[in-house]
Amino acid sequence: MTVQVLQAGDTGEAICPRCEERVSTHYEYRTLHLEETDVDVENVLVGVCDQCQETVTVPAQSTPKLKVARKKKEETVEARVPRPLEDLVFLIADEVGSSGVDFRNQLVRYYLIEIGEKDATARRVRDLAETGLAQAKKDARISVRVDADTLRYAMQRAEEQGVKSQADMIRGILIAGAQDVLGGRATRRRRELERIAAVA
Amino acid sequence: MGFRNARDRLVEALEEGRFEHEARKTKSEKNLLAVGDVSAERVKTLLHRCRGDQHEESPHYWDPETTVHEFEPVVDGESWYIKAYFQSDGNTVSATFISVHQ
Repeated sequence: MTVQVLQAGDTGEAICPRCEERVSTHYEYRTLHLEETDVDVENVLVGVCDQCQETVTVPAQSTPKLKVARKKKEETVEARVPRPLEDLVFLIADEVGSSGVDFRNQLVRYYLIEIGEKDATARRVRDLAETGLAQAKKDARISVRVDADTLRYAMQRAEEQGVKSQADMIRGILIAGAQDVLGGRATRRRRELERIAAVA
Repeated sequence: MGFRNARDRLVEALEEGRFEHEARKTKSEKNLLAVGDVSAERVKTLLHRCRGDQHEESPHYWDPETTVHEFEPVVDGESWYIKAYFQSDGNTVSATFISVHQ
């Protein structure tokens, strides 16, 4: 299959639902709002009515961008955690040279991907979720944003290895992150998280 | 135009990438081809499996000179709905999809 490649400024024709007639169009890059996913996709090439400036068509070449945006829909995950675990999150971020909330999201995402790829990581997270640190009085709350597909897949793999809940998975991940970053050794994971922090 | 002619032109438009989508059904994510849930290859297959009695054509509501084609193939137990029209700039015929969904 080939794709006809259009550029901004190219012209065409379409039937405009606002003008209720066939109109000439021009192509330009706009932000397109996907209603069901509720996400704004920037820089989408669209056909625009020359008369009323309504977005009337979306050429085939724009589809992959929409597809990626739909897949990357993020979910907010919240977990109640013991206050010391909340402190650990800040310590981890500080140790790798990041201070932003976005690093917290990247940290969780990093381990979610690992869980999806390695059963051993899922089992490690399961075991850490059952430690005294994870099970202490949960008097704080952590909120992270991760893409829905990654979360769903990781949870599926985690459940297969005995992780009881999403909150348990998050608590186990945070302790794993603390062990890998604050453990004093220059592990592969620590190096990878430092790289992530550098661009977060 | 007739069923076979319409189907063949739509398949050709898919193969050559000469197609686009009406924005409204794209934004509402009801056109699965537009948002990438189904591929052009899959839509080609659906069209090839369509029978003549699963095709209808009618004038476009806002432009009676444009004929809208509706294909409703049933493939592997799934009922599909494909709605599109053609436009020509003289030399090239392209297709505009209004809907592609189950």
